[in-house]
Amino acid sequence: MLKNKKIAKVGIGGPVGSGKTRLIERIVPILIKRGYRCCIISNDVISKEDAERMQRTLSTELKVMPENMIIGIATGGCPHTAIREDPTINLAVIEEIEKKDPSLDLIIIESGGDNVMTTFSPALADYFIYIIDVAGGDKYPRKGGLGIESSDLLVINKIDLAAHVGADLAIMERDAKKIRAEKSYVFVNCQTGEGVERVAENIIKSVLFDKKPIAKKDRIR
Amino acid sequence: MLTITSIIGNIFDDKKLMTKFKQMESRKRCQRLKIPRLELERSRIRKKTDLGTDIGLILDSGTRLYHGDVIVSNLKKFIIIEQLPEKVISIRIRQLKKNPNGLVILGHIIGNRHKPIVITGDILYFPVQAYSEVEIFKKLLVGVMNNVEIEVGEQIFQPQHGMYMHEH
Repeated sequence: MLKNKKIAKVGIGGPVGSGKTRLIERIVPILIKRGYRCCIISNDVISKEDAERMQRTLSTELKVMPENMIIGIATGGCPHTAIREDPTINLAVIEEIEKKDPSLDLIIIESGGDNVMTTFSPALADYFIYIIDVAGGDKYPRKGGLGIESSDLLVINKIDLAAHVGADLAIMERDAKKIRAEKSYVFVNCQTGEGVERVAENIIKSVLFDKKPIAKKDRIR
Repeated sequence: MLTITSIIGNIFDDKKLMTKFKQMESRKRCQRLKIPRLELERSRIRKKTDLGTDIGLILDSGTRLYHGDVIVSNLKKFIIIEQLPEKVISIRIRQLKKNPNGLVILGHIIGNRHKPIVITGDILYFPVQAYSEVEIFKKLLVGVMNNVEIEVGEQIFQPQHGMYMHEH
């Protein structure tokens, strides 16, 4: 038995406006529907706007999780500091969550919007999703950077905008394949939900190890 | 999936494990789980070995992997962690041995780029993301060293103990 093992943690990073919050709003209901219990930590630099928005969408409107399972942190400073250089504040929140509800399956940590060199401290995240969007141009994947190259899953969002911004998805796919070698990438439209099922599948396989969710009656309370 | 929750030992620290590794290697029963350096600190990893065994590693937080760690050892299988090679710059620093100011500036330049380092004899090593970084460092070091001797190649990089914090 895997006693006292920590809850699996997924980090989601990407530039401002790339769709990090929207991606979480899409994948969490899928995971919950399959029986996995999630908690979200949303890092913002100054405000707690993203956490408050998810409390509205996921708790008030969709009613898929309690409001206190969506935690906002206003980090101050550079966004990557709180997820990489000194993740103390995030680790402290995680410790509290683990004490409060050790039977959770997954903690999702959203970074504040940052640059292409974003990465998560391996002490903080077991799996790193980096999200970019098509509106940044089809040059984006080939320009590289740690986020694009080293993330476990590259998510390319807003594919519906390709025609409007003159971006060629085939070029983005070719370059993503080349720069990431065998690592996964997925095209999505977080607005409609197209492709997000594959993001959830990747999390279930790579972080939750395909384990069956804990039945309600067996959860530690 | 084969779930692993602890590390048995390391073939470079444990002679018995090294002997067993060589035996199993000769019997073609040795498998390698190849992991990039930056992922060695993770406590949860799912990957396949070079022979296709599906591994799920769930380690206690604070435990990290090292090149040569043994995660499975039985009569049929011997599975070790193999750190993947990466692009590494090497700089000959012999000429700076009697020039502490130069060494401090060199350290400052590399530290500004958040690179972990290792020094072996007269050579300083640090990882880079792209070969193009060699030209940048050559320019940055012009005022620090005469005839900057820089080379770049792929190798397994193991940072000086206690020096690795982060890099980007």
